[in-house]
Amino acid sequence: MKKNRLGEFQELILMAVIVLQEEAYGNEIQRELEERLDERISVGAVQTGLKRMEEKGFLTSEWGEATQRRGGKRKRIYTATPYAQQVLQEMKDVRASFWEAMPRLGTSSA
Amino acid sequence: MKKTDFISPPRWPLRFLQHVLKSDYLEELEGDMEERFLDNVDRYGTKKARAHYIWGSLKLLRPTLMKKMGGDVQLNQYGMFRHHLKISWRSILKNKAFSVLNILGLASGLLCSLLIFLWVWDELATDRYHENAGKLYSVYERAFYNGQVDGYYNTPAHLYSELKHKFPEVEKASPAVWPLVRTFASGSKIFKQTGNYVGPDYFSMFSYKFIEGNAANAIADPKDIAISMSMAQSFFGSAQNAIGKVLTYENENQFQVSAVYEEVGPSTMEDNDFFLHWSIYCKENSWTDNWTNNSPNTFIQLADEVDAAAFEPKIKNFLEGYNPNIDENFNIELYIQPYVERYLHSHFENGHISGGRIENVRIFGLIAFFILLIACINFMNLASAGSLRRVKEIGVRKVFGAKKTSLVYQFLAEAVLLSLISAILALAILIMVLPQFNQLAGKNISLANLPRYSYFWILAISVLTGLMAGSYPAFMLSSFRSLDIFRKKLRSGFGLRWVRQVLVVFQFSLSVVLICGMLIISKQIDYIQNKNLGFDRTNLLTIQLEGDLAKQYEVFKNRALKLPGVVSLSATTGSPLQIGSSTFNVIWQGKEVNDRTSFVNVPASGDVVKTWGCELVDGRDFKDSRKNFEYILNETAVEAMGLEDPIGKPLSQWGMDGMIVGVIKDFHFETMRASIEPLVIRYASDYTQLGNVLVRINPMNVRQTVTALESLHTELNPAFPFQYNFTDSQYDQLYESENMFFKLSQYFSILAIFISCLGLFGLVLFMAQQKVKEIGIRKVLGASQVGITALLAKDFLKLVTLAIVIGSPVIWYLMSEWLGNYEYRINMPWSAFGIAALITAGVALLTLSFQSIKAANANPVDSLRNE
Repeated sequence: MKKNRLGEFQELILMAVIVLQEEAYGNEIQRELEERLDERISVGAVQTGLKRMEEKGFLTSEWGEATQRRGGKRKRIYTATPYAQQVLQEMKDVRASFWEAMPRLGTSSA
Repeated sequence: MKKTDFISPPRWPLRFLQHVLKSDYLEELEGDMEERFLDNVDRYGTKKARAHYIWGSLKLLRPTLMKKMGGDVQLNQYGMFRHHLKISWRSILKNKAFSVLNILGLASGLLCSLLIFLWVWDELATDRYHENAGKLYSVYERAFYNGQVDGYYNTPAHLYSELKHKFPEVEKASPAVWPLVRTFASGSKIFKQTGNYVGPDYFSMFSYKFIEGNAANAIADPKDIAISMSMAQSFFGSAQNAIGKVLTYENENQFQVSAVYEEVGPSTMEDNDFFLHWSIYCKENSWTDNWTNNSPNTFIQLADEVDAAAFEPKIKNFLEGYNPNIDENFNIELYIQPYVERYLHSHFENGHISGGRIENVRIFGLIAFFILLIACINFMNLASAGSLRRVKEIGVRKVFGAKKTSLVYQFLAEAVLLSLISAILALAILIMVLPQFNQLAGKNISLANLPRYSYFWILAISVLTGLMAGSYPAFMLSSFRSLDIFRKKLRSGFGLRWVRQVLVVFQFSLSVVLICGMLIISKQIDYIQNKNLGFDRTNLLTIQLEGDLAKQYEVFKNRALKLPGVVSLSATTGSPLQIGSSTFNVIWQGKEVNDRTSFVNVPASGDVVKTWGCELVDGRDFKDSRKNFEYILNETAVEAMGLEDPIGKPLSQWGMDGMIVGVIKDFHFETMRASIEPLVIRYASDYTQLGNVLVRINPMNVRQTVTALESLHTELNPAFPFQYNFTDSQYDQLYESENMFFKLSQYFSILAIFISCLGLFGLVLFMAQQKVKEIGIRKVLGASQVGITALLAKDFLKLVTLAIVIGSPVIWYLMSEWLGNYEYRINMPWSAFGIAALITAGVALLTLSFQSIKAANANPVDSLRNE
């Protein structure tokens, strides 16, 4: 996982995409993130992350349905690639190994 | 239905974003933005949602989402740019002959203007490096007498200290003489060095780089001497070894090396190898105590915030009360000139500073401009002529929808590419020829010394040249109508033919001007060099009369005269060309009280007329070992005094009463720029004060004679090295600037002609190609080769003739101005105009015939079978 390292925000978007499955398009991802992180995120930030990850091969996308609410514009549905799932897993493992190695936070700082 | 159905976000942000964002992402982004807006309307209300929308739109401006480098349009332009370069490169390769002509012409033009640019830059940079440059001033005098005004830099020797003490505005001041040659010794090493005498303030006024010692202690004490790095090396090997060492001066005094310096940049003060305390100079020259004598320079540094213009009038009449000669008939006023201006503006006319080297700077700047112009015109001519072949290309491009601007870009790109290639070529040649150029121009220019920004200028000049040269073909070609192109309407009256003709005429007019100018300058120089000066400047040696040689002059004279090659000797101040001091303190019989005629005067011992090789009109030469004061005058002096029968009449100079013993014919002791002035030669027997001995030698065995004189000198005067000068080489030095000017103008006119001929060659080449079918048909119908050559040459010869007619009056005007600088000059040589015309026409004809004959000899079958 040297080359295509995921940024922290990109990792969050990626997980949102996986969680949302067929509903994973820009606005829905944004809503999901805003809800979980409890902060406002711009369309630009989400889209940049999506496009960057698509370039890197973490995501694929295809056109979805168009709705009235979108002014007749189609959605773009994102899907995580197996590679992305693998990288996510690796990152989780790395974190886990760190958590294990770390002395217990509560006691040391008290 | 919800109310949101009627509400829409502001449209303008998206309209803007459409241009900026990647078109692939546009639909998705627009949709997301709109959906988000409606969500926000539900959540916060319309007003806030709109604000969010606008803010959100701005946040879409991220590199990942935006078009590369501002968008698809420019992406395409970059592609077009690459395309232009490729096409340009191909067309350069396709028409090799044309391209080589073009590049050569432009490169030589650029080379020449770059050289001149470097030269001018170096001239303008002179003296500017001094830290106090803005506050330094040179004091100069205006002397009013006999209704005349003279200006000069010579001032009284103690003026500097008086100015400094009397005026608070003068912060620092120092005198300086014109560089002098002195003999120094350390152990067995004896060398003559050129140096100067200055006041203690000198080094804090002018910037020098000190390798040892510093500005404050350099010549703080009269026992100190500051020497240059090169002098330190020749005496002591290095600056470190030199410091604190003792140098013997003129085999008498001893000075301790207090500082070793390097000169920082080019300077008016020339290269001084040593600096001694001013008091040494005053001790050696008793006349310095007299305020009526004017010789050294005076430099002052004004205090901060002193207005020079307001200060100047304060010193105007300063010499009143110091110089006892000042009365209603004679006055000397003081003025100041910014020191940095002195190098380029040092000539005086009627007491006012008028020009100097700046004239050369201007002339060369003009020449550089015109040569570059010729090269540009050449380029335009060739490009516009050669581009006729590309008329079809343009037509096809236009049919496919190429806009005019895109065609203009294409041709400009091509021109700039060519000019950049030329610039690189010119720079390469520049680096190769710079040493020769330095030698020719007497400069020490190195590209490494140039400031960074000058490279930017070199680049800018070449790109600008490319744009200028490319502009005409670019705009002309791109404005053709494609229909005309394919109907071959252009063939007959292609483009603006008269424009090309005007350009050719202009080019050749400039060439005529340059050639003719070169011829006339060379004639004047020839005239100067071969003119009978009235004295014999060949085989006349100057030897310094110093140390024991001066004390034993009689012995030296007698023994030298016994040498086979020596004709005569006379002790005097220098060669006839170095006579310069003048005075009005000469009294003769019948002189009017208010007469302030200025006489050039020189002291000399016996046999002076014989040694100079002048013609004695009346009376006799001086004879050695006389006790009385004797005078010899030139004819102009006799006339100025109004004496009928001068021989035997009494004359008194500086109170030395004597009589006139001889009159000599006028001779030129100054440059040809000045008229001959009245001259008084005074008999002098105080050999130690004269400084030089002139030796007239036989033209046979010059080398043996000089060697014999040297061994005699070494025997009598071992403490001083033997050094001699031939008067004719001194004479050549007087005209150094003319010679340099001449040589440079020679090279430049050859270059100009070369470039013009390249242009002509290209045009004929083009025309021959244009008329290839016509020539073929004519040949088939029986036209002779001569007839065809004439057909091609006729038009161009008309243009060249016109150029000669236009160029001649211009050069006539310019040259009469230049010759006007000389009191003694040639008449305007009409033959030069004929020769210049012949050369121009001849070279043009040669160029023409080369191509014309080739065209005439071609087999008509080759040119006609393709129809």
